[in-house]
Amino acid sequence: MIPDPWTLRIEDLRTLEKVEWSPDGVCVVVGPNGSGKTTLLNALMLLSLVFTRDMDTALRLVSPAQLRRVSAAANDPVVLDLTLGAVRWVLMLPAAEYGLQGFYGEELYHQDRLVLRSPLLSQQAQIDGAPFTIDPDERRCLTRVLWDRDEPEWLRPMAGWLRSLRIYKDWLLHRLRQPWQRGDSFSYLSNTGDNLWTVLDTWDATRTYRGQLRWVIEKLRLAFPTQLESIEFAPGVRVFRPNAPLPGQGLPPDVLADGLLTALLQLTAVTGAKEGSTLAFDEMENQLHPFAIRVILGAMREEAERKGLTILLTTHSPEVLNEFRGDEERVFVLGEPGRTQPVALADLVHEDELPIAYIGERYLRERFAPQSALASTRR
Amino acid sequence: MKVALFVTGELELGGLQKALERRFPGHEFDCEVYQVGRHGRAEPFPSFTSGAVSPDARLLPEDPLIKLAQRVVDHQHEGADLVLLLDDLELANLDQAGVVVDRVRAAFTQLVRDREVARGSVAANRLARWLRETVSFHLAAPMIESWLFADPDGLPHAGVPAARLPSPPHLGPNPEHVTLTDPAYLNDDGADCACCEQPGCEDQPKKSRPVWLLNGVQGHRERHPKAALAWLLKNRSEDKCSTYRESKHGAESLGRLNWPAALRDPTAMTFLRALHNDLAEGLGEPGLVLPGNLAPETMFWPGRADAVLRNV
Repeated sequence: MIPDPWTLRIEDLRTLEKVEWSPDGVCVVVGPNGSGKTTLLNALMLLSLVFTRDMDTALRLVSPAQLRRVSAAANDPVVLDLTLGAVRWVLMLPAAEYGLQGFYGEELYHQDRLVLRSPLLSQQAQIDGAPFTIDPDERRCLTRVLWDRDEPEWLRPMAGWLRSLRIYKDWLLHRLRQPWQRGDSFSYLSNTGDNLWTVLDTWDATRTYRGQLRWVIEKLRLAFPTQLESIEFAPGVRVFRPNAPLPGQGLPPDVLADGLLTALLQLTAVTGAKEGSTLAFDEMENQLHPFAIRVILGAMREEAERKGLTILLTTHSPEVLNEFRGDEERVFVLGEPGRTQPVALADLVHEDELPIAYIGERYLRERFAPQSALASTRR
Repeated sequence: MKVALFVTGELELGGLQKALERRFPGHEFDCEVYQVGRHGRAEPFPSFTSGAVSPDARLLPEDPLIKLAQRVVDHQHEGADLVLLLDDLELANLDQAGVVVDRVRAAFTQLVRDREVARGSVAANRLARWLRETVSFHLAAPMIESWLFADPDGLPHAGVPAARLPSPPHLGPNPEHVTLTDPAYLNDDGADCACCEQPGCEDQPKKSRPVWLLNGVQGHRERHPKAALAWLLKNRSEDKCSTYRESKHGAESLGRLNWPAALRDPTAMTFLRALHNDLAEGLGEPGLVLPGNLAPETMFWPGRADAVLRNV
């Protein structure tokens, strides 16, 4: 499936001065600490939450403190600009030191035609050229108001993309170790993964989704050959190791390795994602052995191709980077001075050097994205 | 002209750039670093000659020589007019400099082949030509401290006090072969060193032993310039029984190296002379070439048909 291409543009959001980014497939973002990797993911999350919930909820979850880049001009708004196919949605945030100093601005374009506009710091908007007064109690963004009112077909892909976007940053592994009981059904993983067992149980019980569970188990067996053979859900969750298939030999989740749980979450997230959607994993390598990283990355690529997913990874792991040999246009580097961010690694080296044999080794030695003062001044 | 330096020792990292800038003024020398270490200090590349180099072992991706060569290759488009790669020959390889050179040739040949597989023959030929025209590999024999023994002021510049300066009979005529034959040095068993729990420092971890009492030095002390320098800076109460610190004393002395004085004997210091004259030719300074014997393994001669690098 070929997804709609999307482009994210940002101006002056925290450490990100100017961003123009159109990732596709499985991509990785690297950069020194504080260069904006998490801010980049937060920008996507903010857009999604503004559409699906409201601005207040969005700001609360990405933190409303110091949104504007420190050295930006005082009255310049933070700009978030998302283009998906023929639709372009722009938010202009009048950032204060904490939160916003007034109404945010919003514009929506379809095929370059301005469909709606709400100026910065004003409640007087326009939709399709006609004045539209925003109700003081209205919490939804104007684009969501339009969607809820008319559900225009041309807006459906953007609405679907925003609703299906998933940013996975902090898995609540401790919740997965608690006793689980079958309850409501969920077929999609939450952002924290705390409904993992329910999702897998739902898949196990549903013919439509059973193939997804089988895929997850197959990949886990490959990544953890001595750790897992199967998972059963009644009563409670039990994980069975190879050579220990009897009912009394299943392990409860509280004794499972963090790495196994993390891999389970990542694979579930990927195979459960809607077609054409975008998902992101912050530092996907945490808790994972290098071999498990390779298997999971391979699995991600497989699903990304099959379902038209865009999967964004942030990392500091040389092992993850090494897996992008030959794919240097999907390695994005933050922190390159004087350039629109992020920059593809393929654009930072001479074409004769591609493919780079050991990207991870280059990163370890600070050949790009340097962090130490010495390496930074030598560039 | 701009020269990139790839070195494998703290001493070289600290002093070679300055030494070359003094000898070849008007040219720019820049030491590449392997990485910036945990204390924010630049670290040199890992050496590939720490043990006896085997001519037959496969060159695997994790081999320090391949990693070093790859870093040199990565430098192809960084704008350097010349690249100098320098490693110690080490005592273990003193009688097989040719083997070491052949391994270097093999490593770069492999990387050119890898380039051809990855990017085709045009890119590979470009790399091969760049290596032949730009990159030189040289050896400090048996290690860089021999240069400090060759320079009449090298030992004082390294902080050796006047009372400890060796007298001529005890100094080898060619520090690349024999450095110091003072019986006091050859027989020192560290009995008066605070760091030695017993004479000879036997059974103690390497990092707590004086350099001249390390296993690899025994039986070859007279040929080990680093051990000799550490002994000349002997201090009974210090760590390793010496005040010698490569990155400080060694680097300071190297930075002040008097090249003509170090190379005054035309029959000695052939590896150093090969390096010096190769650079003089490459920098377009034929007037600075110094007469004398050159190590055949690393000497530069133009028009060499089988060259993988400028000089090997």
